[in-house]
Amino acid sequence: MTIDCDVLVIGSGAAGSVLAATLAEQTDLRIVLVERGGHFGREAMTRREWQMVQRLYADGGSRATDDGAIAVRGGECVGGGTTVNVALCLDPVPAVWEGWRRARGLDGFSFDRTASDHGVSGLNMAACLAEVRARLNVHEPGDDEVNENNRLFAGGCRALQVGVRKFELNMRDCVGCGFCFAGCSTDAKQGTMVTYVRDAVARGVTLVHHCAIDALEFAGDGDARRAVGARGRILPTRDGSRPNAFAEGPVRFRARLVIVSAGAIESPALLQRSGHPDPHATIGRGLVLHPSLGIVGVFDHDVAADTGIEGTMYSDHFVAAHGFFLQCLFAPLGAGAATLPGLGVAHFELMRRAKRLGTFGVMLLDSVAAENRVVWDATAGRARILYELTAADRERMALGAEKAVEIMFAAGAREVLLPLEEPLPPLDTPWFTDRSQAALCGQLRFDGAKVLGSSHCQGTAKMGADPATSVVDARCESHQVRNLMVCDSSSFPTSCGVNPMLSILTLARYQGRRIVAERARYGL
Amino acid sequence: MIDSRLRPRYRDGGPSVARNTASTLADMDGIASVFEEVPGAGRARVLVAGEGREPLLFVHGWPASARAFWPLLTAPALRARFRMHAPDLFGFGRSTLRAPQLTFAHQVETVLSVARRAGEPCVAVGTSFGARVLLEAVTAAPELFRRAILLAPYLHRGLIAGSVEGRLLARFPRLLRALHRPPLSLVTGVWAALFSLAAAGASALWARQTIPLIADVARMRGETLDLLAALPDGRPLLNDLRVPLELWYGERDRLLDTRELAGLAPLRGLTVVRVGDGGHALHDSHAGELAAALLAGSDGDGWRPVLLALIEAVLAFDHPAFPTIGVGPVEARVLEYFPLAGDDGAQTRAALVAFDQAFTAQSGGTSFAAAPLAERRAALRMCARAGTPAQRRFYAGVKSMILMAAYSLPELRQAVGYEGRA
Repeated sequence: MTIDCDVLVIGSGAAGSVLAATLAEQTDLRIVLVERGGHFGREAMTRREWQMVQRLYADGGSRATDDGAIAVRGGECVGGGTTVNVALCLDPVPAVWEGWRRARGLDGFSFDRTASDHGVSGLNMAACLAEVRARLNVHEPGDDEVNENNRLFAGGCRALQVGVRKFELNMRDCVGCGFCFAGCSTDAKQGTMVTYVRDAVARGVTLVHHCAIDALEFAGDGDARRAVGARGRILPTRDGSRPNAFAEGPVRFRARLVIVSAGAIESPALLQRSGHPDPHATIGRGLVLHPSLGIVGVFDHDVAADTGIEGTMYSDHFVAAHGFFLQCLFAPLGAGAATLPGLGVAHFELMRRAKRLGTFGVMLLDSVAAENRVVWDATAGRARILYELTAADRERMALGAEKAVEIMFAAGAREVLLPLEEPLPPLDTPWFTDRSQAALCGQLRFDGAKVLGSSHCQGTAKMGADPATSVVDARCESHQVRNLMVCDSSSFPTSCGVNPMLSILTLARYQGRRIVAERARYGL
Repeated sequence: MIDSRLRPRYRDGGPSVARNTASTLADMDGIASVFEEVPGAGRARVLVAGEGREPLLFVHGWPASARAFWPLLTAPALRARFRMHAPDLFGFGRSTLRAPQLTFAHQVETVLSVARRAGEPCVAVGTSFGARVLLEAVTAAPELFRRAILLAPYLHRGLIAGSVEGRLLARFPRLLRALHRPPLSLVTGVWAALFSLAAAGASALWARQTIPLIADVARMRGETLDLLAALPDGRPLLNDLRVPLELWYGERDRLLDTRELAGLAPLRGLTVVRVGDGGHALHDSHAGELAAALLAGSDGDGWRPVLLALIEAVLAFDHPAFPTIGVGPVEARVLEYFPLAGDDGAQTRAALVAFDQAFTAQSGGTSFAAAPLAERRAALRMCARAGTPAQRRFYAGVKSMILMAAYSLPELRQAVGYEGRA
């Protein structure tokens, strides 16, 4: 089967959905939005942990770095990560984008509301951010929506004079069921599935889900090489998904503009397996993960961290000096059980106190290292994630752990533990009974399997003016292949400095509006 | 010893194995040719075929290349079940040696590199010289393999001493080397093909490999002969097998001293299979039988007691407040969540069996399931705290699998203050 269109957008997450919706809103182009995962609407969100993880996450939730050290979570469903995240919204950081502009010779990306980037009237990041914030109903939750776990975290921070803030959330009438990670069963979470994908489909965009793209298709050689479409397979529609527009089987898309928005793991892997030229070996390199470590406190009273809105408080106190956030989070029971240290009786004793556990996380803004990368492995038929914390990042993570342990004690925890089983002399494991022991964290190696988590992959098809150090330019256009864009968190040259959802949405809105104004550039 | 069990079983309805061969890669439908960097050696070409999950590795003999396994790489039944990898050893086929001198260790490293890349313990088949290489690899890194089949293995130099080829190699090594440089190597290829036909005994099917074989020999490097002449003795390795090993030999093999192979049977962990009407090139003459054995010889149910023993170790059935549900419902939920018994579970099954084998080897013969609870927990804890990266991954994987499943059961959720089903 061959499907003809003007614009093919691969990936329906934070970037692809916004691009499709923006183009559909402002043009009459024929647009196809392709998604590898299924279309699970709120009726399919059963709040059953295992079932939902299988339905909504890449590799059924088992994706990890090659060495198994870091679990790399990613939404693989319509809406992508915005369907499974916990709705935390932090605005793009103008200083980070200004730094990219200067260091990498990027045009545009003005945060001045009066600017007209690329000669397009009114095009600037500030305007695009305002638009996506409005569409996602980004707002600060009320004090009554802050649950006990978040209150304890905030109290611990304040007791140590550590600045603490309230998150903004993309929600509308949240019932506080505590199952954000498993997809929202009330459509309260304003992920792109219920916002931009819905807008796109309402304006005539063809959504094809359960569609695995095997390769992009190019025509011509050298400077004339251009993207002309993609080929792949429509997979059987899984149980619980909404029906698909097309029957399963091989499929080929023909398009004049191809936009890859498959996330920072799958986007570079797709370029690599498509034979996208890579003369400077830049595709996939410089992966940033925002590795995160959970801190668990055992309290004397019920915390019931599993009820209410999971994350409402955070601290950016250590960001400027040490590059890590503290953010309030909680794991569902099954994943939590798998994360807590120990076995047998000791583990069960801890589980019996599950309702009395409070948790938050240290999220590291990791630095760029060329050897941290995504590689398409043709033999295994999957993308491999090669990543190791640099020595400096390991130290910063250890410092983050130390500060977090102190804050957890200050919050009133009787015991504090990390989900690690590595020896920590003179303690047996990182399980602390006194705040003075926090300094031991400096010895931590974080080398166990899946002791860290990542939900923020970035930086594997970087923007930049120089093809020797980047894959795409400021327009997110490939340096090597015409009419091909890579626009998602892959495009970020470094960590975007915050939880990336709004940064990605804003970038996509910005590029979408630019494409509308520069249609002729792509023969559209 | 298993005797002549092969023919009657596979004569009817055995797996379909193609009966024509191709002389160029372009003709090989559905076989990918990839290159693997072998540290310290060079770049090995690897043929990759199959859509299945379980890794299967083929190691060719002398004088040949990975192409010798074409009938197996294209067999639909194998393709459905396995992801097959067949490297060209260095000095053969399209592999490129960068090291100054070809050594036996380079060949072993090639096999290990490909096995490591597979990401889980492999089933591996080696033939003749390749079987000797495979035996070395299996001994060096048993954790990478879960089953090995040695076809007509050239275990040590004495095994071919009585054959015409063995005598030529012993008496005229320089001459033989000279014959393996162009342009004489083309003539040698023809000679080798004819000679192999004779050495393959009754296997007339070998003849259809003639043209590819001539090409392989013409491309082969003379140094490979030195490896044959200076082959390290593989017999001691058979005394300490950590991976289940089958050794097949053809009754009509004119190259190897088959009486010696027949006498190997009583060794622990070794199964000797006599192929009554087979010669030396069993991978070719008995490709159908080999395919059937690979398909039939799954990992069985050996993983099941390991899983049950792990569930007991990870959960706290020995705690007075632990729900009295028994291991059964937890196992059922694990199997519901993780399709261990099906094709997709092969990797986990293999890991469970490999873990048990390692535990058994270290405990002096006690299996994991038979060990006391405290020892089981200690072994798991050791994996987490002082294990290799693979052991740490195993620990995290097992814990995650069992706990995710267990804490979805209402009894356990209620025991820790959560309500309802997950």
